[in-house]
Amino acid sequence: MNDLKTKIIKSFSNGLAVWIIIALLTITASLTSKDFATLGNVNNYLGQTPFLIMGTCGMFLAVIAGQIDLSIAALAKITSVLVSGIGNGDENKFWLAVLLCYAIGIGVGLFNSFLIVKLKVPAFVATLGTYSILEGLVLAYTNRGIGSIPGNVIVKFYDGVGPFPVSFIVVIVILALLGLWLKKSRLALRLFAVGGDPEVARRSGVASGPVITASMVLCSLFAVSAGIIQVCRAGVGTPTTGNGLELAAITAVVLGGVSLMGGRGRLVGAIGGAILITLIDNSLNMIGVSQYSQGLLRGAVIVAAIAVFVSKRQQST
Amino acid sequence: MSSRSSSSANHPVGAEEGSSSPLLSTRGVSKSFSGVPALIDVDFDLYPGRVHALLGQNGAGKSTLISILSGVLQADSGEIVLSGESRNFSTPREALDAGIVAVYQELSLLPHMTVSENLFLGIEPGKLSVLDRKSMSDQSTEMLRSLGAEGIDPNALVGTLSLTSQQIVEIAKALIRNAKVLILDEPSAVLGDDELELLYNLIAKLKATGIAIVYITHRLDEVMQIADEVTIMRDGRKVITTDRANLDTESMIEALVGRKIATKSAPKWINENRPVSGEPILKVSNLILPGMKGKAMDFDLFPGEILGLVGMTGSGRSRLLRTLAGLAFPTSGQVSIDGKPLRIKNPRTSIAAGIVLVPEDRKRMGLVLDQPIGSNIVLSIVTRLSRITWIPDSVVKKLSNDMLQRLSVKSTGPSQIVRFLSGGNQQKVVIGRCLTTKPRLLLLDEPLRGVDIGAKSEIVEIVSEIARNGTAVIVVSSEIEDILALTDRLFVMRDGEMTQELTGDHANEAEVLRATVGVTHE
Repeated sequence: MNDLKTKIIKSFSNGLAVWIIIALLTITASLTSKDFATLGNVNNYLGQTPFLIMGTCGMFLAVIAGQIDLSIAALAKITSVLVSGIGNGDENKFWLAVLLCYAIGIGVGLFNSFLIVKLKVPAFVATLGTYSILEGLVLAYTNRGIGSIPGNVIVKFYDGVGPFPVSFIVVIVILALLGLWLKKSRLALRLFAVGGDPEVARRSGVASGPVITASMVLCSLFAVSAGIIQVCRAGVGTPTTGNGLELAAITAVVLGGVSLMGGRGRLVGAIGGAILITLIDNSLNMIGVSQYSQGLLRGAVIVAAIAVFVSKRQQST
Repeated sequence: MSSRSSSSANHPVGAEEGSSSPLLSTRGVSKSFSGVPALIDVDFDLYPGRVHALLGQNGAGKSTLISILSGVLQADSGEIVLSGESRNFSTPREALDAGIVAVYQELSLLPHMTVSENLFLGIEPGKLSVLDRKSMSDQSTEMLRSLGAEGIDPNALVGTLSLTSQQIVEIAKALIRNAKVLILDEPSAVLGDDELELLYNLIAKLKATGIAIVYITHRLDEVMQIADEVTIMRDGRKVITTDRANLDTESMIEALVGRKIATKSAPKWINENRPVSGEPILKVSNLILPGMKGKAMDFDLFPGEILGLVGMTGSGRSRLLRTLAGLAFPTSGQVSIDGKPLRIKNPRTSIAAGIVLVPEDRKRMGLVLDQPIGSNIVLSIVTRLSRITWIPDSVVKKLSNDMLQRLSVKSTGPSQIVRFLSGGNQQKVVIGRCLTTKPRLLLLDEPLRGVDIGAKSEIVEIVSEIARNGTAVIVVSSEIEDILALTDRLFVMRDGEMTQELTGDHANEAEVLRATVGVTHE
C-alpha cells in the first residue's frame, strides 16, 4: 500500500503521472462522447494546445531558474495586437511585425532580469509590475480587435498532415529542440544548478546573474511565440487574447511535477500539464458540461492532482 | 612524546626559504565584523603533501580564516601568498581557479543533480556550450576510481547517496578542479567512525600526490591520528603552530583554553543557593532521543536548579531541548513535570505543562521580527489572554512594560519593532515571551550567542533570578565560558547519551573540553 503510494508520488515528480491522467481522461471522453474522437475535434484540440504549451515552456525555464514570470500573458497579448495591427492583412508587414515582437520579447526579458538580478526585486513582484506596464501599453494601443492576419498565413496554420495542424508540428519541433537543449547545453545544466541552490552554484564558480537573465529572456521569447500562435488561430488580435496564460502555465508546470522552489522538474511533465489542462477544457465542452460548472470541475481536478504532489514534498523534507 | 620530534618534525615551524617553501600562506590577515574583530594578525602556512589541523573553540576564528582563504570573505588587511605570489581573492571563483577548494560541513552539492553534473558544475567540458556528457561521465568514473570509490555511479542523483559518498563526491569535485589546497571543514561532525576511517585513507592518498590539506576538527584523537602539523587558534588569534609530534592532548587543551581561563571557576552563588530539596520539577526516565542510538537517559531537575548541557554539534544537546519542548518526538521514555506525566505532542502541550524553549535561532524561531515588542511578548499566551477574540491593547501594554522593566530591555516601548533592537535586547524579548507563560522549566538553547558582553552579564543575571524564583532551567551552549557563567552542574553529551556529569570544581573549562573531546582523565 505504502509502496504503491510512493510509486505514484515518484511518478508525479518524474512528470509521468500527468500523462497517465491524460490517457485515462482521453479514454473516458472518447467513450462518453461520440464527438470527442472525431477528426474534426482532434484537429481542433491539437490546434488549441500549442498556445499553452509555448507559455508553459517559458514558465518552465523561469521556474527552473528559481524565478517566476507573471508578464507572459501580457506579452502574448501585446504580440497579438501588434502582429495583427501592424500586419493588417499584408504578409510582408506581418513577418516584419513578428520580428519586431521578438525584439520586444528580448527587451521585456532583459527588463525583468534587470529588476530581478540588479535591483534584487523578487521575480513575483518584478514581473507583476511588467505585466501591468504591458497591459497598459496594449490598451493604449487599442481597446478592441485590431487589424487582421493575412489569409494565406491562417491557411498555413490550419493546413496539416492528417489531424495534425502545421502549428502543432512546428511546436513539436520546438519542443524537441528545447528538450535537446536542456539535456545537452552547458547553460541548461547551470540553469538547474542556480535554481537548485544559488549559493552552491556560486561556490562552484557559476554566477547566477547571467543564468537568470538567460532564462527570463528565453521565457519572454516563448511568450511572444504563444502570442503569434494564438493570433494566427484567431485571425485578429484583441486585448483579451491570452488572458490567464500566466496562471494556466504555472498550473501546468506544477501539475507536471516541477518544483516551484526551482532546480527540479522535467519538461515532459510540464508539457503534460499543459496538455492536460487543454484536454480537461476540451472534454468538458464535448461532454456538454455547462460553462459555469467547467471552472469548478477544472479547479477540482487540478487541486486534487496538486494535493498529491504537495504531500510528497512535505514527506521529503 | 617530544622524543619523536626528529628532523622532519621541525621543518614547517621555522621553515626558511628552501626546498620546501609554503604553497599557501597568510601574512598578518585580520578581519572584523561590524567592528568586532574575528581574526587578528594571523600568519598561517600550508605545505604541499601535509595535513595541517586547525583547532579552536567556537568563535576562535577558524571559519573566518578558511572563508578568506577560499574567497568567500575578504580580509580587511594582510595578504594571501600563493606559491610566492601575493593574491587576494575577491570571489570563490578566483580561489577555485587558483586551486584552493573548501569542503564545507553543509555540503555544497546539488542533491537533485547527478554525480557527474555536480563534479563538473562551472567547468563543464564541451565545445561551443554543448556539453560533452560522455567525457563528463568518463572522467567522473576515472576520478572516483582513483579515490577508491568505484561503487559510486556517476549518473546517480547525489541526494540518493550516503553522507560518506557525498563527502567523497565533494572531494572529487575539488580534485577535478585541480585542487592544490583542500580545506576540510570538520568532516567528523557529520561522519561516523567507519566512514572517517575511509576518509583518512583517502587523505593519505591525497597527501601522496602533493596536495596541502587543512583539516578542521574539534576531536583531538583525530588530530593525533592524521595531522602533520597543528595550528591552534583562540579569540581570533593564532596561539601556536607546531609539528604534531610536539603536542599531546594535554598541551592542546591547554592551548585551546588558555592558562588564565583554565583556573577561573564558576560563580559561587549557585553552589550555596542550589535548593535541591523537595520534589523534582522534571523527571526524565529511559529517554531515547529521536534518531539517536545511545543509552537511555535518566535525570531529575529540582526547583531553582540550572543544568548545563555540553557536547559537540550533533551530540543531541539541542535535540533534548527540542524534545522536551514538543518539537521532536522521543523514540522511547517518560517525562513528567511536577509529578504529572507529559505527553510530548506539540509545543502547545509542552507550554501548557510549563515547559518553554528559548530557541537557538532567535531571529527565525524565537521572534516575529517585523512585529512590535508587545505582540511578541504576548504571543505565547494569546489564548490565555483573549476573551473570545479580543485582546485589549492596555493588557498587552501593561504586560510588556512590566516585562521590559523586569528584563531592563533598552527600547522605545512596547510598540517598537523587534527587528530594530540589538541582539541582546532581542534575546531579552524572547525570554520575556517565555516568562509570560509562567514556566516551571525554562529551556535555553545558545542564549548568549550573538549578544554583546554587557547584555551577556545581564542575561546571566536574569536567568539566575528566574532560577532563584523556583523555576528549573536547562542551558545548552557551545561556548564553555558562557555555560560556566550560568551553572556549575553540567552533563556531557555524546552521540545522544549523557556520558558524564561534572559538578563543583570539576566544572571548569579544561575539564569540559577534555570530556567533550573524549579524553578520559584518570
